[in-house]
Amino acid sequence: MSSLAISLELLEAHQGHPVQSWEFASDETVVIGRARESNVVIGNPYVSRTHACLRVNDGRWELSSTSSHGVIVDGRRRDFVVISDGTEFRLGGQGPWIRIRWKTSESDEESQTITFDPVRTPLLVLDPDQLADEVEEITEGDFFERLTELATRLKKSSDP
Amino acid sequence: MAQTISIHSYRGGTGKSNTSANLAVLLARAGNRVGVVDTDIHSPGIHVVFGRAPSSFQRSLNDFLWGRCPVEEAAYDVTTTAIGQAAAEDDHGPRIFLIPSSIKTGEIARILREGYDVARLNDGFRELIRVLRLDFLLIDTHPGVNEETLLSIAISDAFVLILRPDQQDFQGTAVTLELARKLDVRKILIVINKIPPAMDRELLRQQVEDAYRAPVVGMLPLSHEMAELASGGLFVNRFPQHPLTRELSNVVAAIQDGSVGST
Repeated sequence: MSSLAISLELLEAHQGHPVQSWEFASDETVVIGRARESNVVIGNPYVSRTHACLRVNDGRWELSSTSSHGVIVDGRRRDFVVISDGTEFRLGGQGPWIRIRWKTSESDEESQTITFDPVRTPLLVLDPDQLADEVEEITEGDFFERLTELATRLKKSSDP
Repeated sequence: MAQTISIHSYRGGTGKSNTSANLAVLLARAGNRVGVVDTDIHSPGIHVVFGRAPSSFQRSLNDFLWGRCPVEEAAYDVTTTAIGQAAAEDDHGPRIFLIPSSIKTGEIARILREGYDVARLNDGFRELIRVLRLDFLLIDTHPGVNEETLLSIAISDAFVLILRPDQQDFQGTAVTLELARKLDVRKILIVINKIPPAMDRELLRQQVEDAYRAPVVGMLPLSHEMAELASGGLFVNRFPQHPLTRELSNVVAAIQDGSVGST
């Protein structure tokens, strides 16, 4: 079953980066639309309240449009299409792009967690000694003392 | 009472001016009278985001600092461009005023050479708040830590610190943050900008909040649309439904949080 799980990626542009993503198992019916009760809510004026629907039928994912604007796949307006890994479609002629990805099976995921992906982990590290040195360099001596005094005076004079 | 908010980044290129302009628009849309002062006198730029040609300004902040005019003469009403005609025609409606810095090379050079009187700048802020009846005054600061910038930060009610998720910004921003604490800034808000789509946002937030002991109030995604707009317009107007606009709204909520009725 897990091999049929999918993720939907809302793209910032055609073939662009995903800005938001959702995951669904194969036993779910996925409603895409502007309405709050949709499974995938897309707050975009070009998206219909209930725009499209994804469900598994006969072991494959099918996309059907429930909007008069249809969905655009490979440059053509469609009301129904069978989805494969990497399929991109657009909600109407002016709406946002969505990409479908097959979710990898559980064993695949396990092996993925041990691969190191530098993009996913920012690993920002603060060097506390360097920080203390740099702060001290600025705050020691009379420059910062004068600055603090002036700031205090200005703040006082600002209070009504 | 009016709130003075300084918006700062340790390095240039973080999207500080763009963020400041868009925050001003969202604050005005919430019904506020907002002033935006470009104190990035060394490399001014926020007027571009508001779609104003430098030739449309007769006066700038520089003129005020050099005693050539009262500060309100350097304030330009950009309400129509920023939030629309309807708001601009409502006498009791919100307003956005822009106080630009001079883009004349000679005048920038003079500021670099002579610096300016920070006490006078402070007087200018107070005058702007009084004469223009502002609810919020946003100060777009110069990157780095010089005396003028530190003082602008020190006299502000809130300090919005923008950084990108990279190591150099991370360390440098921490220094600015410590200085702001020593200068007794009461409200410090962190905004992370230009976050690559594949980056783990929650992990990023955790790392920054743990290290800085300050709240991350906005996580702005790296956006093609923003890049393509190339400062040639106001993002929140062009892309009202974009995740980036939603994050900017969160920053505005954090700025406004507790600002009503505070001392």
